[in-house]
Amino acid sequence: MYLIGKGFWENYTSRSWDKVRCKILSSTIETNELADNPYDFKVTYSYTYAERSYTGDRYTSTSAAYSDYSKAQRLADRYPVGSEVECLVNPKDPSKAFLVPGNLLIGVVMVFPGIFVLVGFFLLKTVWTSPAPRSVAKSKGLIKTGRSAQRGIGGFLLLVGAGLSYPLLIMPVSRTLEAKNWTSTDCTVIESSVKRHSGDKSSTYSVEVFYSYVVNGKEYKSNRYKFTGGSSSGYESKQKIVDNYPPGSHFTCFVNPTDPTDAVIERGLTWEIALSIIPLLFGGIGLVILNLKPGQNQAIGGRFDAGDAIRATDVDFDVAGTQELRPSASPRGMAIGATIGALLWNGIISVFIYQVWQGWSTGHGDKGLTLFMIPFALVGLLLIFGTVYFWLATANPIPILTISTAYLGKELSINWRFKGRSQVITAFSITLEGRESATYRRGTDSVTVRNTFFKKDVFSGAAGSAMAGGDVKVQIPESSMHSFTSSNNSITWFLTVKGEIPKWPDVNLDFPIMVRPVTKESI
Amino acid sequence: MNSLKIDFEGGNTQFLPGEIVRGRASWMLDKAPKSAQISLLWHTSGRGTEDVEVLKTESIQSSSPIGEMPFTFQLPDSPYSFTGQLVALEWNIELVTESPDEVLTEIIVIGPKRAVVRLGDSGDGVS
Repeated sequence: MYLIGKGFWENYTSRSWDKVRCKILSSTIETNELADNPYDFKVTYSYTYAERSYTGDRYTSTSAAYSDYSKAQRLADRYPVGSEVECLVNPKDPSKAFLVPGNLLIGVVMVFPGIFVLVGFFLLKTVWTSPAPRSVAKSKGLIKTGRSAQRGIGGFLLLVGAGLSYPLLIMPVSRTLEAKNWTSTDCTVIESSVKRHSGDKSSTYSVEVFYSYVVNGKEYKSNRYKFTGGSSSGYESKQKIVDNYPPGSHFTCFVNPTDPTDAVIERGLTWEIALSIIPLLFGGIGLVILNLKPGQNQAIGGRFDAGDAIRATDVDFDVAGTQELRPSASPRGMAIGATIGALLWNGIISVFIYQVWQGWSTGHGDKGLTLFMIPFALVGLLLIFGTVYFWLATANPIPILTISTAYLGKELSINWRFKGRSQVITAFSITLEGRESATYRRGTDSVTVRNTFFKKDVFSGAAGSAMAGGDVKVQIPESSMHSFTSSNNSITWFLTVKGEIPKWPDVNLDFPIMVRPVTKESI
Repeated sequence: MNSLKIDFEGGNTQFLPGEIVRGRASWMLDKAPKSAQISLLWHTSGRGTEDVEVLKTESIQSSSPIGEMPFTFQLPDSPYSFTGQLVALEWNIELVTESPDEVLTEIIVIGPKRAVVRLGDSGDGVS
């Protein structure tokens, strides 16, 4: 953090250095093939400060080396030899000068070590300070602190997603749309090769084509092949592309009419755009975390008087006091959810599975990557199977339940009927269940555990006329707990309907019901 | 040595839903508290993250390090005090002073039989 902070401070103070006229002595682009950023803009300039002459060679506080030739080219065009420009001179050390001040974005890098410092500080504070007596009422404040951490983590993930979305999604898509209007131009290959990028365990490769073209009588050079940068495995596929661009050959490239230094060979979207799913995932997870509601002290349904709005279940009331129930999860909703999950998961892993397949089909299979991808592929297949299962279930007959108002210690009346072909059901049952559930945080995940504390068969039967509909009553135990829901804990009652359908997904639906406390006259 | 005390009327700490709980809060502190309050609340415990709801708080104004004050709370109809395998809900009367920071929490029970409801004890129960 000290080093980053020192760099940030130097960049910040350079903005207030003295402005002096400088004359450009040389302005070139040096190429270092072995570097990750091979195109280095080199400049020298002369200036006078306090009646002494100096020569400077710094463009800014950091190096001006780029992987994109056109960026170095633009700088060389901006500072032609013999031109006079304004430069910034350090009044405390006039031998130090820049053409432009340092970039303050380096300060953003301090956020990451800064987080570690803050976490360490708070951990030490809790160890050193003695705990105050615990007030349950005041623990509401701790819950707010927990919410701050939740907002911090969610906000951080959202920022990461937003930050990554620019280079992986926004920039490639906007450049592609912009390039539709670029001018087709005859280009000449200067040199072409497959560049190797060494990693910890394996290497990746990228297509490198360095070419020249003429616009309005002036020669320009570029090395941009496509808008999405980076490298990937698969040497053979890159070599096939490079073979199409032998040195000296001519081809059509596309040039930005408003900035001739800006050119590209492939101006359409390439497969790397699929990587844009990564920032969307980060941002999506961040949004979900931000919208989780831990520790809000709303006892929704935790206490209610007759007539309170019921939010623990989703029921309709009619005038006579009976309610038509809706299942906690509709078959169509589950099918749509499964489809989205399968598409997202298989969409992401298909990029890597394609790479694996491509590697094996060209004789350069990566065993490590293949083994790594097997469990992901199996999960993907499971999701596809699940999607098909849930869509088949949407064709099932739909049970419709109507009940009387439910109280502890009172009889509950249940009427059922089916919408759809109930004759396909060979066995049918209704069960009354009471479940407790508890939600807790495990890292950034939310985990919910459940336990069924009450279960009673209400009705069961084989195929017959009862399948079409019927009525039944069940006694709700008096010495039990009414429905209760708070932010992280709940007591919920369900009528569970099961219907067996041979060679087809079974009917299996939970209908939540609101069980009220014992009536006052019963106490 | 600081001490707080909560006495319930008739020593009763078990109530039916909707009843009134009455009692007296007293304190003996090294110095007069900056503030003091007595609250009626419930909170959950168990596997899940704790949920808390404070139903009512009465503030006590006192410039004396030794004092007492009566309190009266109307209890709601729900939720009952209960305990299960994963979740439990407990009702409390809590006395809190500030400077010096002291807390006293007393448990009360609210239920249709003046007892904690035990999940799974109602027959036909399955866990």
